[in-house]
Amino acid sequence: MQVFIERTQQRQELEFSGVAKDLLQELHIGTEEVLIIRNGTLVTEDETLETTDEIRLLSVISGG
Amino acid sequence: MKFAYFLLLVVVKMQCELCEQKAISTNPALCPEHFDTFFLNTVKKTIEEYDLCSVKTKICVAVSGGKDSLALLDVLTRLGYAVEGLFIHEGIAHYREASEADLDEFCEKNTIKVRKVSFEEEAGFTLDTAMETKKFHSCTLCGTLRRYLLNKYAKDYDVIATGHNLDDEAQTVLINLARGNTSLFLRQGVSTEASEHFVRKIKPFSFLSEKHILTYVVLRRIRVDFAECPYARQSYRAHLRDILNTVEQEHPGTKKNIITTYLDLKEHLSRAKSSETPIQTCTRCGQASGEKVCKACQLIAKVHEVLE
Repeated sequence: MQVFIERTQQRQELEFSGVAKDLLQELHIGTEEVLIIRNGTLVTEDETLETTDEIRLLSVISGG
Repeated sequence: MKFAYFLLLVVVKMQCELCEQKAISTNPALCPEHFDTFFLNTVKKTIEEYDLCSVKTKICVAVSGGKDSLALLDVLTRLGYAVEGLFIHEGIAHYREASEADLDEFCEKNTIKVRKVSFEEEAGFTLDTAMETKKFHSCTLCGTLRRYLLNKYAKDYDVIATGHNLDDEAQTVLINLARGNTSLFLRQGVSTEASEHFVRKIKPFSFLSEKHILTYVVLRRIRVDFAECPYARQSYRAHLRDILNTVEQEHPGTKKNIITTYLDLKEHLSRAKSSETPIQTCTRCGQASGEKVCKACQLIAKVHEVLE
């Protein structure tokens, strides 16, 4: 699974399949901090993700 | 039977509360179409309940090019309000340029007029230059000058609309409580009073979270930069924000409860404490001031003193 974290501009390759909430927990990111884009589509933290997915985590926190 | 129930729960969790489409948001769980309606209706309700503006009101939107201000321009335009933008460039390198470009693109596409002013033109220094002296608190200096410039350049408008959202407002309630800022605590609200000296400020996003706003921006395909102000990252507010987000994740509705309880309480408290600082005219710049020389002029003078 390819994960791109907008806030840190970090790209990671992970072995993960399961609920998006659990992915966020593994990455130490709170559900209030990001929107999850799965293969170009906005999904919620209840979404079940596959190992072949491309995930973008958009930062909710921006500005000053 | 337990497995079937579990499967049903999973399906129901991902479904829109109002139809059978897949939800793209939580709290509330809504599909794209119903989320858009929810978002617009929440803004409409806030405007009506707090009498923020009408379609005849000349609205100056304080814009940065970030998600909150672009979403605000977009929503107010869609709801039929007359808006123009006021952009203030603080002079923070590698931060403001990207959002300014997004603002320019949005306003050109939607034919929205924007006026631009900067700390450098108005005060003679950028925020970066002032901060290099290590003598000033970034948010105090930036906040004071931004509010001063907003008021100075929005005089031809009936109201200034800002993109302050539920997260901002809940954080501010807690910050003022935690820091013992009673008078600031009492002054917070969905809008300020109209006065001779200060343009009334309104916050149509007071009951929409940052996450709601980003969802709106993504669904509307509005291009925004995700940069966080480099000075804000280690601030008191950022610390409190992280704590509040952790609590909200476990206890959804916390942020909304903070702000609605505050607004209820404010009505009671403002009757009990009503000392107002008389407003005078700053002897240096002629703008409204609580003292002989306004806070902005005092800060600008201090920065120049340190820079020399």
